[in-house]
Amino acid sequence: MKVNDFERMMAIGLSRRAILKTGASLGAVAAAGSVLGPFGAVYAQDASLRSQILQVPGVGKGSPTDADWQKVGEMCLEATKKNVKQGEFAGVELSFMGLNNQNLHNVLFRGFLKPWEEYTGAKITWIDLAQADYNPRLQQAIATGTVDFDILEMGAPFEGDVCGKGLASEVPDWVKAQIDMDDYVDYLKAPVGTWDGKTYRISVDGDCHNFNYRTDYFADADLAKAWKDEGHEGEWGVPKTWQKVQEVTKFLKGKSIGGMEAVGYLDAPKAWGGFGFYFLGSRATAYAKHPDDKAWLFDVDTMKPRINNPAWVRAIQDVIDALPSEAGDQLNADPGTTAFQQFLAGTGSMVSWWGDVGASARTSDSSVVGDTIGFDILPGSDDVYNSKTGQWDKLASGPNHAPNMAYLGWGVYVMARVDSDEKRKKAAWSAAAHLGGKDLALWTAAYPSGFQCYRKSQFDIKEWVSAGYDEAFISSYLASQLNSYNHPNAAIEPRIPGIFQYYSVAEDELAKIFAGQATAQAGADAIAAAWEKITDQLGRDKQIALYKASLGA
Amino acid sequence: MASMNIVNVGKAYGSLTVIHGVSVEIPDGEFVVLVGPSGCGKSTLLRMVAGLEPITFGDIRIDGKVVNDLPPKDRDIAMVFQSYALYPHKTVAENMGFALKMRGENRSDIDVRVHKAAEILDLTPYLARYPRQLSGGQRQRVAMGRAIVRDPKVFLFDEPLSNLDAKLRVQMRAEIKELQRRLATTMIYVTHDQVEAMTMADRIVVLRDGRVEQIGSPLTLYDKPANTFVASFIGSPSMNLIKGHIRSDVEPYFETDDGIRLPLSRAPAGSDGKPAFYGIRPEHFTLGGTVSAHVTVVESTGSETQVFAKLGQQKIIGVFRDRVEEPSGQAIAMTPNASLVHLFDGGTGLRLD
Amino acid sequence: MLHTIPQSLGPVERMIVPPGSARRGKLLLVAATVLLFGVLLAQITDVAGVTSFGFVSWRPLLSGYIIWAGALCAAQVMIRGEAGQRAAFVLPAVLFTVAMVVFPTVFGLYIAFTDWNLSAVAGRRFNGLDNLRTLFADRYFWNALLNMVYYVLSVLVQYAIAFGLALLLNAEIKARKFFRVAFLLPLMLSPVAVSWMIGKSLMEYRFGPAATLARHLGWDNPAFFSTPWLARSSIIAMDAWVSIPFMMILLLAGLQALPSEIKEAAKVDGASGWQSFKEITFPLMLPVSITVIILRVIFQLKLADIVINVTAGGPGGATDTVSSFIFREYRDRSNVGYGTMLAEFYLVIIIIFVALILKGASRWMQRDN
Repeated sequence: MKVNDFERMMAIGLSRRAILKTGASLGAVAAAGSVLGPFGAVYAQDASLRSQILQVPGVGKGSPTDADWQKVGEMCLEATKKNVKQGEFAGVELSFMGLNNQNLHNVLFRGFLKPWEEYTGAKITWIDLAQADYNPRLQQAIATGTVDFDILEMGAPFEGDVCGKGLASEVPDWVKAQIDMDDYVDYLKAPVGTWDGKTYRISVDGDCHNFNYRTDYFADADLAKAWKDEGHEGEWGVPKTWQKVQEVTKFLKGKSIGGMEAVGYLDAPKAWGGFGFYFLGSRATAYAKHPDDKAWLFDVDTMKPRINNPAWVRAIQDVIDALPSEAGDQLNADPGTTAFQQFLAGTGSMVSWWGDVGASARTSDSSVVGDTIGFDILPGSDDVYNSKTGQWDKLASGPNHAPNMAYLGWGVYVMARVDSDEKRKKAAWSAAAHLGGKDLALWTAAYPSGFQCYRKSQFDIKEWVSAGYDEAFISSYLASQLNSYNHPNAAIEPRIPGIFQYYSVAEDELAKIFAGQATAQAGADAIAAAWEKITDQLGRDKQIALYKASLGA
Repeated sequence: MASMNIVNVGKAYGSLTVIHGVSVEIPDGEFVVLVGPSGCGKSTLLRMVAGLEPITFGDIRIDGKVVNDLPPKDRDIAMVFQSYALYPHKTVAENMGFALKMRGENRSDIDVRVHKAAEILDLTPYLARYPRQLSGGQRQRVAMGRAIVRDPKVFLFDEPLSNLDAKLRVQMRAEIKELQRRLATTMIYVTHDQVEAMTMADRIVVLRDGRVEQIGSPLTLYDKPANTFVASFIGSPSMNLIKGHIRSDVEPYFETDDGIRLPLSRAPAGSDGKPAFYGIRPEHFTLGGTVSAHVTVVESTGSETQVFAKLGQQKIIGVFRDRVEEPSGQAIAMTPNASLVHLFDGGTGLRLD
Repeated sequence: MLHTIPQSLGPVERMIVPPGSARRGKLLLVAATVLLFGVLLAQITDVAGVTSFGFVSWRPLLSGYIIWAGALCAAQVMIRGEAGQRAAFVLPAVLFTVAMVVFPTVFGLYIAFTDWNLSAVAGRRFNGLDNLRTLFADRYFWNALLNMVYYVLSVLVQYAIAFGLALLLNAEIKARKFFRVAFLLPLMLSPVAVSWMIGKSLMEYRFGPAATLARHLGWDNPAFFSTPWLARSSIIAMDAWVSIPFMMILLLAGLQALPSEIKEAAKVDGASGWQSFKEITFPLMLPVSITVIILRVIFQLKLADIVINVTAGGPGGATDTVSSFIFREYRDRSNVGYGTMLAEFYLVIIIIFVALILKGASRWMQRDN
């Protein structure tokens, strides 16, 4: 559907859904058009464009549909038009591999790129993969050298596998300019934004774990009284350190709030295809990530795992200690359970997660915490482990915070196989740049897309409020992300090949520890041993080099 | 050892009644054969006696005691099935001893009795074998052995010989009869084969469509069949039933529908002009005489000759000791023995006597 | 009497093959074989970098194999006449099996002796018995294998329940047809659907009906997957729910095939219901039972989907199965070499185990009568 047709339909008051229902209404529009005359669809630039796209379809007016995605895609096409002539890529066919999780990701890209295809004349074929099939498919393509796609949606942690093998094309300068790369939040710039000094990724997402809590718990007078009565130190309030999180969690065991069983922090001990490890990571970074040291998971020079150092063991022990105070079946909870079946459904008062929890709190039908959710960066720790000295340091600045940049975010990559053909290369990069555009990013952050904020320009509260968001809610939500992204001591995930293999074996061992089959230290030692083995198998020297590259060290 | 009374017993499946009140009285030690064409209800009746089918109405008494609601095991009966129903996973000895084992008798007693039964049935060499290693006749004997080892009040046989070949069947027939004589136990035997019935039974119960047609000794049934059904069912080849009218105004004779005169020694009183069947067994024709028929087929077994012929338009069969070599279509003189003629009502088929 | 058959076929078999045809057939076969090995050699050298034909995939070799297979069949007919024609009926199946089963198994065996992690720089490397040594020292594998013992033993319980249900459905009960279909329904559900419906919804700790019911019955903390034996039992129960109908339907078919007269004979012989079952029905059902159990054991040894979905092997590996462990090794760790060794080793264990059961059961398996 052409956007100007769409505009006209809107103008004459046809609802979006009615249009989707029947193609016949297009005829009605054509007729209406002749009466109303051409609608002046010249979009004002910048601010007015940004506020206009946020009105498609409008916050609180149901989920966007394909027509909306296409419309947004067309509205954001101006940047492309500056660098590409109409029909310039006629005859170019590109294939795009990405995810179709929850009908997001690729499903949106398709709509966004439809106007781009119409304008440039290029054609895109799609390879949609479920999350579970994504990694095997990608690894297979890499290992067997059968890269059969030109553009790839990929999580930054896999860069070690792809960029490390020279399979990706470098971002051309004109693209950097088109998408205004300087606008990226700090942590997504070099070195995280680069691989071995070169830029390969167009970010479409920024990822970090933030701290989601229940405001009603920490404003509850009875709990505050009980807290005092039991002689706890300090005022009853949102914990700022993991030590407090532990104390609050144990305190809440057996208490009730509003007639319901009160539960503290929610741990995710059950394996989740490697992704569960991030949740131990969120507990551990404040202990393990020293401000003076970029590394926190491995020693940089040797790839010696730190997983069995006192900091990580302490985090593991925290989980062991907290589990009995959490929900009855916590041992069988994976991160999906803690976020969507527990926290959003009203069980538990604190959980670390990606931005999805906040994004769903007010939009998901099964969420009951929309009005009682608050956000912060991950808790800190009173002391932090210094792996150089082997000592626990108390920082003069107060508790050590180290937000966990879990997964680093999704990016769009162009494969090196297009480099030999200038026209294809430009077409592929133009498509990627369109998806990574500055204005489009505002829309994907505000509507369900699978992506969260990754640009400084996305943190303009006014824009969100004028789009219909509650100011207090969105301020707290965005602040928790921005403060994590910009944190000087953020814990950056190593983008080394096979990083999920490390996570996956760790999950297996952690499951045993949490089930009481091994102590924290013995289990952590087992993980370390398994990690050493993986490093050897993957090639230690190469891993060290790539690790250094990923840290920018 | 027991007497058995079947009193007005019936069986219905919903609205479909398959046995309409059958009554048979069986004194102790009698060998009764239930015979009839397939579907006549003889097997159902036997299974009701055994307790494998519930009774819809009527009473079954063993030794005067009503057993209607007793399960089979409490009726003290033994049954031999058409398929023998041997337990394939048990040896001959285990098969025979199974009922005793179920009764909880001790092993040595069982052994003694199994061996005794095996001896009676010439099964001793086969006791350790499995049924699949036996011939059909041997399996048949095992099935009987399984029955006699228990020394039950009543034996029930459900077409036990129909799976055997003709020669073996004749042999087993004699063995069963002999066995019955030795054991002197009440037996009820179901068959569709009238020869078995005739040769083995003390008394025969002829069933048709769930009703008793006649009860009597084999020779009674042969000599005085109560109706055309029994008349044609008993005896082989079947009795000729020729349609026509009785004429008895002066000298009694029978006039077929084709107007052929057949001799009668006597006619029931007042039956002149009555439509009737003229029943004459094939073996009761003699060659020669006044009655002439046309040969259609002649079959000779050597010892006797069967002549298929047409009497007017009606088909008849004659059996003769003499050789007959008339070609087809030739007229042949064959005359019924007037003293052995049976007359049946032309409408009801009942015997006119 | 079999020896009479070839005699009657004799004249046909002696159908004369023209000498020219046989020669052409041999030539064809040789040519096709040369082609096949030629392509193989070309592709291997190409991959090794010795030559550069620019093959994109191994598809040419596949074509070579298909051509060779066709030539082999044709040559059989040309060389051996009637006998060759008969062989040509079987050959396609044999060649297909070789291509689809034998070759992958053998190739898998080769991979099993390599160190091949998809993320590794070095690619695939032959590493002798290292994978096997790792396997013998791998506590996860042996833990999963021990779990498999429990899972396999649970088949016996499932069998007992299935037998009971089959007996019920074989009896004269009301609405028998309805129950037969109703009992079959779980079988028609995919285990993945079951794991979501039951494991993740019905047995969900907070709102799941099963958990709610358990709370009503006085169980305060109905966490079905939080302690090893409870989790294992829950998995077994879910698996049983899906697979009991399968066993039941086979047993029911077996029961219905039993001659009714034998059971009646037992009744007349004075056997009570239980005695009749113990002495007659059960022994007669042994061949069916053994078949059912062996089939189920083989299925059970491959149990993975429910475990992966519901517990991910937890808590602490208590519900892990060999298949779900292999799945993790492949999917999450891209460890193809070791994963293949696990799979091949497990295959050997399964073959030996099933062969032993079959051998042990053979005396019960004779078809009587």
